[in-house]
Amino acid sequence: MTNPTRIEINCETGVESIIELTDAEIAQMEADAAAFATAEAAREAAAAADAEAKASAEEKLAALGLTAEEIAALTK
Amino acid sequence: MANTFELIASTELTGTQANITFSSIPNTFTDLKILLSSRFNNTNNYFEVFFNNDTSSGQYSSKELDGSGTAASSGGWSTVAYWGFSNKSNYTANTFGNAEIYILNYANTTIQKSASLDTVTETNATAANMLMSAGKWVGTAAIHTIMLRPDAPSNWVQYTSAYLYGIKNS
Repeated sequence: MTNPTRIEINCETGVESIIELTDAEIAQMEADAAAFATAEAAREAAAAADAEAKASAEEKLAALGLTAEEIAALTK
Repeated sequence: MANTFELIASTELTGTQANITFSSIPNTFTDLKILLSSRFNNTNNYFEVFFNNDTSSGQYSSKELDGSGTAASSGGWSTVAYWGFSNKSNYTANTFGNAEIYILNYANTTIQKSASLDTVTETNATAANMLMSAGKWVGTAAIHTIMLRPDAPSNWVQYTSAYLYGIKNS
């Protein structure tokens, strides 16, 4: 089975070349994708934690008697 | 303000490709700009931009703002390259996303290189994304090669096109 290909455009000559990826390039792509997925998962987890903390804080402010408008004004 | 704007090279894909690489970029301009119309053959969102074939982790860092039409978010990256959105395979058929990539002082040989990306996607659904990001590559060499690579296992599909422009400030 052949590997995927990439296209390279030589800006000096204008020549376009279709080049088969090496096994090392494919391995690098997969490693980079895994690193990105890990970083993205951490970012999403942090965003979810922030949203949860905000909702909890707003509930506590409401329990103290603040109106929704007052809470919204505090978080602007 | 740029007063010249010259097409260096361009391509429109005739088939699926794992990445698009501009090589042997002349060092005779001040800045570079890439206009990209793109679509993936997979449901991954992201593509990355690499300089001089440097794909090493930790060589790039960036900040980004992302809006989907229903939510907004922001973030920063210290281990992955600049990245932007492209249309993906489950978006409306035959639609493509747009990206504009601006690379400053690319021919300088003493400073780390900065770039900014503005990308948008297009689909007939509630959510379509726009993303702005800016970041740097720690390399100080003049940029002679730029690779536009979908996040694995996506590939660019046929009719994806990329145009590389050189810009002079005088």
